[in-house]
Amino acid sequence: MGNSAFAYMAAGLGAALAVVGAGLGIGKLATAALEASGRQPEMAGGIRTTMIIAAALIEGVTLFALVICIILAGK
Amino acid sequence: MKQGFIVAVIILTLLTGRAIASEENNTPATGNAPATEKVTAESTSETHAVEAVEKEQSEEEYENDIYKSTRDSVDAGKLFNRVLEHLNDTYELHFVTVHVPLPIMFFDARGFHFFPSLHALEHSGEYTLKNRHQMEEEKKTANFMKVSPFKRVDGKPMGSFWDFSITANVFFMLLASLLAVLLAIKAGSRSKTDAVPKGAHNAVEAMVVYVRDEIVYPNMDKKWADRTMPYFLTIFFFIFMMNMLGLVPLTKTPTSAIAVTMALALCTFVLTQIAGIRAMGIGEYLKHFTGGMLDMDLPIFMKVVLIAIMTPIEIIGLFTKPFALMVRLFANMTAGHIVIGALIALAMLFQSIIVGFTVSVPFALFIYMLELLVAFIQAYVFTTLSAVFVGMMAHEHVEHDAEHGELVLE
Repeated sequence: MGNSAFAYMAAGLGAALAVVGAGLGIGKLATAALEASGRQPEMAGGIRTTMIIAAALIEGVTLFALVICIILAGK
Repeated sequence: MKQGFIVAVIILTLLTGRAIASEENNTPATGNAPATEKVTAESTSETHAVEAVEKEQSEEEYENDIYKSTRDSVDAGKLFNRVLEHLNDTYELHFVTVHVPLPIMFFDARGFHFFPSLHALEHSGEYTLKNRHQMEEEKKTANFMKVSPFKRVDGKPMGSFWDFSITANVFFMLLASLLAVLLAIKAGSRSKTDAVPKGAHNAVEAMVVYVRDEIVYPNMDKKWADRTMPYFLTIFFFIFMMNMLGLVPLTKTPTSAIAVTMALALCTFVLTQIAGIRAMGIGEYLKHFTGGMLDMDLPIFMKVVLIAIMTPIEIIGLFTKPFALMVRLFANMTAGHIVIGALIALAMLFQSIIVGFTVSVPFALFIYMLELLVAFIQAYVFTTLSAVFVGMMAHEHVEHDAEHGELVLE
């Protein structure tokens, strides 16, 4: 196995781990948001906005990780 | 109607796949190989230099040859690199096999240069394109500002290089802004006699009202919201147009270039700071870098320590926000395109039309539909976060007004 083989492996594992984290995070976020808007349907609009902002922040961090993986895979 | 659309998408997907497969040496980094060779041969009498160039090019061709010698072994890494190359900026518009020239303009040590096309540049006798090996080598060692894709025929260094070319990304960015302006004019120029708005007016009004009521008003007080509304509407429609333009087959997404998103994030950064200075005054603005520790009732030693810790954190926090904005938009738009490219590349990897029709096309279509959603969501998120940052900076002022009983937010 050469260096590039390790780079590909790291890219694959890294992408997988990043996606696991993001999936858990956004899943929890969506659960909470849905429960909240289920309890208080009149607040659904505001909750959705807040949820999307929080989801974007989680996604942003995930994408930092994915960019590193893409750079590794492009080596 | 729906079936026709799906068939059209499949045909275009296959065409794009063909373009990836057939494009051998047409990226800007390598350029048009025969032309480079010809110019080099004409301009220099030193035969060994020509040989060296030819050798480099043959090596490069070997590296580019994803199929290698046997048809049944495809190097996945090289195929992936080919997909990534498709996201690179180019000095020509590539429509499958047709190359549309775009003007090239740049400053170097000798001053300003203008060439109507890449072809004109290569036949000018002054500059030629570097090949990929030279670019890669230079990027490792030289200052990145000075790495240019061109080199002087007489072999002298270029000096500092400032590229103002209308590249493919710039072209599509201009096209997006033109479309956004035309849409706004079309929507705004409804005749006053019509009582009921229709068509483009309705569509644009819905989005403008959405930006106003859902994005800007909840995040800052009304005075600031009305003052900065044109900016938020502009970036929303601009980013939305750029993202959607990238989903039209044969085009590029300007937002998948980090330079474009950096410029957008920089605009938000500047607006945020201006809003902060205008809302708080320059003294208060500088004071907020201590994280509010200056006004806190603390022992003097504690205060000094806390300020020493908080000031760097606040200053870093100042730059991480636009940085995150930049990377988020860039990575989202790039990731979608890479996924579509990789799915299409699967058909080439397995050398099988069955994989192409059962895996590549349906999944690429699915991701494409997802991208339609992402194109909107990212424009929304960028605008929302910009509004949140501006609102945060103008917030100090809001609290001040609240004490005087002036403020009514929400």
